Order: sequence, then C-alpha cells, then structure tokens
Amino acid sequence: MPQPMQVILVEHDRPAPVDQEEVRRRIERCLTLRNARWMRSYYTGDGRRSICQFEAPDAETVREAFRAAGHPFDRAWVAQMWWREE
Amino acid sequence: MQASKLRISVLGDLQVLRDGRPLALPPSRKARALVGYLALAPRPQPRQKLCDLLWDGPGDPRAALRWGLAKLRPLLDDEDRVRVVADKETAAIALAEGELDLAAARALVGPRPAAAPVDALRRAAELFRGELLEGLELADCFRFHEWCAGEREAARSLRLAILDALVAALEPENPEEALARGRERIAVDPLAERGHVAVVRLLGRLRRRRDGLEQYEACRRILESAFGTRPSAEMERARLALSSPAAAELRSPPPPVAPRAPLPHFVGRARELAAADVVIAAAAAGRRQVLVVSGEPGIGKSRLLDELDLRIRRAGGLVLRGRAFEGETLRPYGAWLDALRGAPLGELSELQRSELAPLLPELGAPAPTTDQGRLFDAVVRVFAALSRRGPVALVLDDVQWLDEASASLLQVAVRALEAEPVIVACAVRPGELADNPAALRAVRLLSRAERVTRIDLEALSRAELRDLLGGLAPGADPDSAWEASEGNPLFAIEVARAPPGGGGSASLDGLIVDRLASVSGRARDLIPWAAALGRSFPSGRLAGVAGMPAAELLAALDELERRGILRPSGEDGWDFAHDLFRRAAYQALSEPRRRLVHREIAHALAALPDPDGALACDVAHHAALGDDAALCVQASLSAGARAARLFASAEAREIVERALRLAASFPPARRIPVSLALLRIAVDASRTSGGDPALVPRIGALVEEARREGFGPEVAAGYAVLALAHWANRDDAGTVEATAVGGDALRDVSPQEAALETAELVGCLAALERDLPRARTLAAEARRLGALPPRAAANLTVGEGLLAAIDGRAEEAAALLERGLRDCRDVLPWEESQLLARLALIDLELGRPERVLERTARMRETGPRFGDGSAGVFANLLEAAARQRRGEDVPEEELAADLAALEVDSKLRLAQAACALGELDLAAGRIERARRLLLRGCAAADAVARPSLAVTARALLARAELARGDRHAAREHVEAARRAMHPLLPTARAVRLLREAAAAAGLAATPLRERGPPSGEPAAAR
Repeated sequence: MPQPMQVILVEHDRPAPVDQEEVRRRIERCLTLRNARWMRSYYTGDGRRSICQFEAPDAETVREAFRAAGHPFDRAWVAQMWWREE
Repeated sequence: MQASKLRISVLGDLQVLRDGRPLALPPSRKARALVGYLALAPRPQPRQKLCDLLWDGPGDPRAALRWGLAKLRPLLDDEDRVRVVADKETAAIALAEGELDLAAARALVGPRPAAAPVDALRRAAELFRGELLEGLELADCFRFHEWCAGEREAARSLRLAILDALVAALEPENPEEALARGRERIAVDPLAERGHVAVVRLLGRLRRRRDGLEQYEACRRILESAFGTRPSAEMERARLALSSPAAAELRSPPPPVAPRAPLPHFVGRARELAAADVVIAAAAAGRRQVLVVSGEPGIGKSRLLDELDLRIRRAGGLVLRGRAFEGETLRPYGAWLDALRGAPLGELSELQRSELAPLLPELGAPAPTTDQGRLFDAVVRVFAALSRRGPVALVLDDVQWLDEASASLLQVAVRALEAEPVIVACAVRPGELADNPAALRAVRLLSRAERVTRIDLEALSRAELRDLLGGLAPGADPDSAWEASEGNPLFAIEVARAPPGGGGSASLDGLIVDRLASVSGRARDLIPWAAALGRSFPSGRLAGVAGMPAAELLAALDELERRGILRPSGEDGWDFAHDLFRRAAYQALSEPRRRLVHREIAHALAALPDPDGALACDVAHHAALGDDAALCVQASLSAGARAARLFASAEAREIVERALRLAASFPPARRIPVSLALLRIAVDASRTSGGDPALVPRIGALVEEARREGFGPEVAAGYAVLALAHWANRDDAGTVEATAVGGDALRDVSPQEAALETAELVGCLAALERDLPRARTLAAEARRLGALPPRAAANLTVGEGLLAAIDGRAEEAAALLERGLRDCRDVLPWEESQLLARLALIDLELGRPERVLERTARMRETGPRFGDGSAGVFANLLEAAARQRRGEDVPEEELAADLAALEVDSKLRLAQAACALGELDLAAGRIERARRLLLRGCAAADAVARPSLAVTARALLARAELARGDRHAAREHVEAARRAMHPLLPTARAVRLLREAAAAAGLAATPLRERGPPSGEPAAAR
C-alpha cells in the first residue's frame, strides 16, 4: 500500500570533495531497498558542502541508507516548505 | 509676497532649496536629522518620540527639541505659508506636492516602476544624487540610525527598480542610453549579478565585445571574492552571445522596408462568430466553456481562432495561445509551454513561479514535484489565479498533433477549471486524429464536456469568397477561384495569387509548390531551413542554422513575408503562413538534402547552452532525422530524463526507444553503457504507472552481455538498474535479488570492494529483515574470506549480531553487537548510536533494565555528533521502558511529546518503542494504554515495511483485546498479522508471540513455513 512520503534534507560538510557519482550509486542501492529515493543535490563549487533532498517515509530511513552505505553526514531532517506569498 | 518655491532634497546629502538655490543649513547635525525625519514622516510625530530619537540621554530633550524646531522655522517657513507645524504634543513638516524629491520620484513612477513611461523614469532617475541623507550619521542615536538604515534601503530599492525599468525599456531602441543606466545600476549595487548581466548583454548588442568580456571578468571576480560563487547560467549566456552573435537569439527584427502582405480580412462565418460571442459572454459569467473548431486544412480554423482571440481581448480577457506541430509529438507539453509563456508570468507569486519552474526553467528554482498530479495542479492553479482578474482563454491550434502529456494536462484542466471564467478553444483536423490516440481521446473528452460548443467549418459561399478575394487579390476572378477551390479559403487565395495565364497547378498542393518555386535568391535558400525546423522559430535560431549574416537574413525574411509564405509569430518569431506550406517545402527537399539540413540544425542547437535539457528534445529529433546516431543518442539521455522528470512517460519511452534503436549499431563498449543509461530512464518513466515488467528481461540481457564481454563496472551498474526496475514493479524479492547479485558481480572487479559490499549487504538485509537466507549465506561466505578490512569486519559482525537477534538468540546477539560496537568505534563511528539502541532493546527483552541507562547515556553523547536526529528522544523512551520494567508507572503524558517526535523523524523507532512499552503496559494491566500505543506502533511499522514489528504489535494487540474480553477483535488482529506475514519471515520472537496470541484467541495454529537454519548453512542441506 503506498505510504505518504516526506521531503528529507541531508546536510554534509566534509574536509575534502568526494566522487559524487560513486556516492550516489552506493546510497541509491540502500535507498531503493528502503522505498526511498534521491531527488536532487546542491553542492558548493569546491564539492565540500552539500545539501541533498530525498523522498522517504521518514528521516531515519534516509539516515539508515547513508549509514548502510558507509557514508557519513551531519544532519538529516524532515523538511516543511514555506514560501513568500505575494 | 508669493510663497517661493521650496524644495527639500533627501536623495543625496540633505539640501533645502529655495527657488533652486541651496540654503545654508543649521550646523547642528541633529537639526538636519530632524528635517530629514520629519520631511519623510507620513504624519505628525509625537514630541516624545522625537526626543527619544535624537536627544535620548541626560539634559533636557524637550528643550533641545524646541530649540531644534526654532532653527527650522526660518529655513522652511514663508510669510504666508507655514511648514513647521507644532503643538504641545506633536511636530511635523507639512510639505506640498513636489516639495520633497523622494515623494516626487515615487509619484513619477507609480507603484510599478516596470510599467512607468520612459520619460517619467528618466526624470525620476535624475532625482537621485546619492544615498538617502548621505553623510548624515549620528553615531550615538541608535534609533535614528535604525530608521535611517531602513529608509536608505527603501530608497535604494526604488532607485534600482527605476534603473532596471529604464534598462529594459531603452534596450531595444536606445542601447547606448540603456548602457549608461546599466552602469549606473552597477555603481549603486555592485554585488548584484543582474546588473552586470544587463551591461554585458548591452555591450554585446553594441558589438563591443572586448568591453563585454571585461565586464564579465569584473563580475566574475566580484562574485568569487564576495560570495565564493561562480557566474549564473544567465551571465554565461550573455557572455556566449558576445562571441557568436549568430548563435544568440536576436531581438525583434527592425521594421521591414517593404509593405507587408495583407492578412485576409475576416469574411463570413456569421453563425460561428455569434456562437463564439455566446461562449465569451458565458465564460465571463463565470462558467468554463469549451469550443472545438474542426475542419479540413485551409478551411479557416486558425483564422477563426485569431478572430476569437481579438474578441476575447476586446472583452478584457487574457488569451494564451499554443500550437502543436506535426514533427513535435515527442516534445512534452509543447503546446502548453507556448501558451504559458504568453501569460504575465512576472505577476505570479513566488510560490506559483516555483511550481511552474519544472516546465518553464526561466522562472527560477523549481519546487519539488513528486508526481504528475501535483504538476498539473500547479498549472491549473495558475489558470485559476489568472482568471480571477477576468476571463482567460487557452487557445490550442492543431490539436491533432498534440503530444500525450499535453493531452493529459488538457483533460485535467478542463475538468478542474469547471467553475472558473475560462475558455478552452481548440482547432483540430479530424482526418488526422486517428493517427494520434492521445489527441483523439482528448478531443473526444472535450466534445463530451459540459458547456461545449462545436463548430464544424464549412466551405465559404461564392459571395463570401468574392468578398475575401476582393481585398486580397483585386484582379483575380473570384468565380473561377470558387470553382477550383470549392470554397476552401486557402485554396482560393492561392488560386487567386497564381500567375495568370494558365499553366499552373489545379490542386492546392500544386499551387503551393508553384509559389515556393517562384521565390529566388537568398529567400529561396532560407526555405529548406525554415521547413526543417518544423515549427515556429525565433529569427536568431534561423540565422544560426542557415549561417546567413543578419542583414541578408532580414531581407530574405521580408521577401518571404511579402509573398505570404512566412508570417510573424509571437513576439520575435516567424512561421509559415500555413502548415501546408511547411509540408510542401519539406517534401520538395530530396532525402539527402533533408538529412543534411537536419544534421546541421541538430549541431547548431547542440552548441547552445541548455542547462535544463529543454533543447535536448529538439536536438535529438533533428539528429535522428539527420542520421546522426551519436548526437541523437547523446541528446536523448537529457531529453528522456527531462521528459521522465516532468512525468511525460509516453514521450520519455519513445525517446528512449528511438535512441536504443540507433544505439544498436554501436560497438559493445559504447552500446552497453548507453543502453543501460537509456533503460534506466525508461524505468524512471515507468514508475508513475506501476512499472513495466517488460524492461526487466531487456536489462538482464544487457547485463549478461556485459558479463560475457568482461565489462565489470557495467555489470554492477546494470544490476543497479535492474534493482530499480524491480522496485518500480513493486517486486521486493526481485529488488533484493538484483541488489545482492550486483554485489557478487563486483567480486570479479575488485575483491576488496566486493568484501565490503557483501558485508554491508548482510547488515542491510538483516536490518530490513529481507531475504534472510541469503543474508546468512553471504555472512558465512564473507567469514570464509579470512581477514577482512576493518570496515567490512565491523559491518559483518553487526550483521551477524542482527541475524542472531532475529533468530531469537538474544544473548549471542548482545555479545556480537557489543563486539560490533567496539569494532565500529574507529571505522564506522556513526553506527554507535544505532547499536546502543539495539542493545538497549535486547536488554529490555532479557530483563536487564539497569544496563539500559548506560546505553542511553552514551546514546545522548554520541548520537547528535553523527547526525542521529532522534537519539535523545529515543533514549528518553528507552529509559521510560526501563523504569517501567522496574515497576515504576510512567505517566502517559510524559511520553507523548517524544512519541510524537518519533512519528515524524523515525517511524522504525516509534514502532520499537511502542512495542516495548506496550508489552510492559500489558504485563502491568494497563490495557487501554497498551492498546493505544500498539495501534500507533503497528501503523508505524507498516509505514517502514518492518514485518516483525508489525506482527509483534498485532500479536500484542490481540492479547490486549483478549484482556478486554473481546475475542473477536483479538482474532481479527491475529488474522491481519498472518495476512501481513511476509514470505520472508519475521523474527523468531514475533512468530512466537503470534502463536501464543492465536492459541489464546482459540484459533487453530497455521503451519508457518520453517525458517532457515540459524547457522547459515543453505536450506537445501537440511
């Protein structure tokens, strides 16, 4: 039965840039098993800081996937979106 | 004496001018500040407020204020006009219109500078001499300082808005002045990239390439040093336009020198126009109307839509026009994009812009869209918002060529906008609908909608035709035109325009061909390019592909327009006067010529910047027709991905299939990876419709081929795509299988990597309770590998610990997890918090509540350090469970906030906490509480697909129901648990609990399939 999905953001600051494709491949495998998926990522130009957006039942699901893939992160949290209304 | 002209100028250093001459201001800065403040204040200010503003501190502020006002009177008051108005309570400076420069500037440009006339903008811009109250700093009056900062910001924003409006207004006709204003803007706000972009663009227009590049460099340096960022896509486009003007879009062409071919004036169709008027009036009254205009080619459908457009605008409505094109059935939402771009997008709210941005990337950062429904909702909402100001018409021409995504959106929009003042008008060629099932469905739905008006256009009468031709071709013989054309307007016009004296063709197509052939010179050279482009095009694009210098191009376009072959379309685009012209021109090209033309177009488009992939579809289309397989396949990756992102699944699949056919001829080293990438896009596109089982064997075949060829990385990548395909098909077992086998595949490539992946997979499968027999097999294999790298060893130990816990060997599990904890500390520190939580749960199970507190203390330390967002909250609940285990009654309210937090952050932990606490509540006789907790736990376990927890919760719920005396409910829970039992069985403990609950409820035991042996030997050995 389809479950409601949430927007999850994961932040990561790291001392050195990483191979983004490789990271994505490893985490994606773990995400797929957990019925979650990667939506988009924002990286600084030097590749050291990122904010990644996922769709998952909750934040812990995404944290599990990161840990299972052996990839550290700083914070993962459920995001609500607020917009300025004109 | 007449009051002399006084003016206060605050847009720069403070000045007070009388008859244009500046007066000497009081030397006191506070007095000057008082002038500035009161001049800008909209109403009289309380004396106390002024004192606090400027004379806060020891001394007599009120006296100081009195003194200050006294200084101002001789400055500002006239004999018969008092401006400094003060009473016991308040003080003010009363200024008339025109006496304050800031007010004058605001009055000149109105609330929307972008819409103000150029002259007014110029005068307003001249008023700004510098920053507001420049130089007037009062270091110790922080309130004044705060106020002044706010006012300065507002004045600055106004100035920037005025300058932006001037640049935009002057750019087309007067780029020199626009440049000066653009530079002024940069001086005011040097850190804003948009100012630099405008200047680079203007320098490009003025052909000052070197200056443009210098400006670009300056901007780049500023962005890097101030923000550490690089220039935006817009800036890069402006820079690109500097170096290759042919590739850039030209602005609207200068007015033509020769008279244009007249548009046919509107003739006849009285009945149809009356029907259209009824539709317009009905829509204005607030109910959505549908208008379907059908007829053969050339009968006048588009002309009728033009007339409808005019009438709607006259009635105060907004018209958004789009068209489908014959060659563009793969361009997702093509007709809609044209229509939406005609909307006043600048007036949309930021939320609306972000929701539309996936379709129209120029609107900025897109809001995340998770499904087609939301994207469609966003479009519908924009229409509804626009229709609040007056009727809105969506006018779509040539609907018989509509792509599937557009057709779906059309159907949704017609339904959703039922109660809005909206007109949906379509023109369709019924004869060509049969070839396009999606369009056929859409037209059928429209025809059956409520409040639909069908217009089937018929031939014009002889008299009407005479009237038409009288205006267009006065020398022609209307009777013979009528006979030849049988009343088809386009045919008749062509007959009338054909050179007299016979020898011309008798058919419409023939006449068109003759007309095209009569063009010569540069104009004739343009025709193949225009025809091959396949749709309306900006003149810049035509210039770019035809490689013609701008002056020649414009002369050629002019001639084609005079001859009625091309006509302007939209703001700066062109199109064939009728689709039949395009077709005839295209068919006149030989096959080899067509391929060449398409190939050139593909390469020219591929050279343009395309950050969003919107152009890729066109590139792929032309490359396919140009037989450039490599470019087509390359572009199809972007185009297909974009179509999938926009949920245009059918288009995405077609793009992929076309590219796969072309890639079939590539050598394996290229074909396999690119085919896998394309099939991955197909998988993504299939998700919205529940997957496509047919993709699985195709991906599998590629993987096999990669394996035979020895392409290790492709094998692994292929398994990843296969896993995704299974997941899209909601085939859990397949997903796990593909993931696991993919790990195997890596072994040949890199044994170290493979060991790590295997160990990780064991942990993953155990944590998720999936495919446990395989997990055990893999664990045993990994152990046999001997010494493992530290990460793999740590992962493996943890995985084995979890497997032991699943099998019910709690003590062994605890020991393994303790070891895992030590192993992880150095290599996988972020696992610590998790493991501590697991150990705490085992401690509770084994009746060791005192150990729980050690674990939770450490969880609180280590969790937050490694991003464990709910460590603290879970620790609270574990401690509460430990306390309850010891006999304490923890009130429900104490747990409420933490449970709610877990609901959002970690449903797995919520389920674990609920089961642990619920079981303790049951044991202590707190039945209702247990029930509430366990229901929550059950829902949470289902949400994260953890069968054991779901079964455990249901088994415990059954017991709770029995305790309440409700055997029926207990049985229902047991049955539900049995139905939910995964083929891959849950933990031993869950199974045991369920058996006990079933027995207590008086249900017969069902034979549960035996689980795999705990030692890891393959099941077949039993």
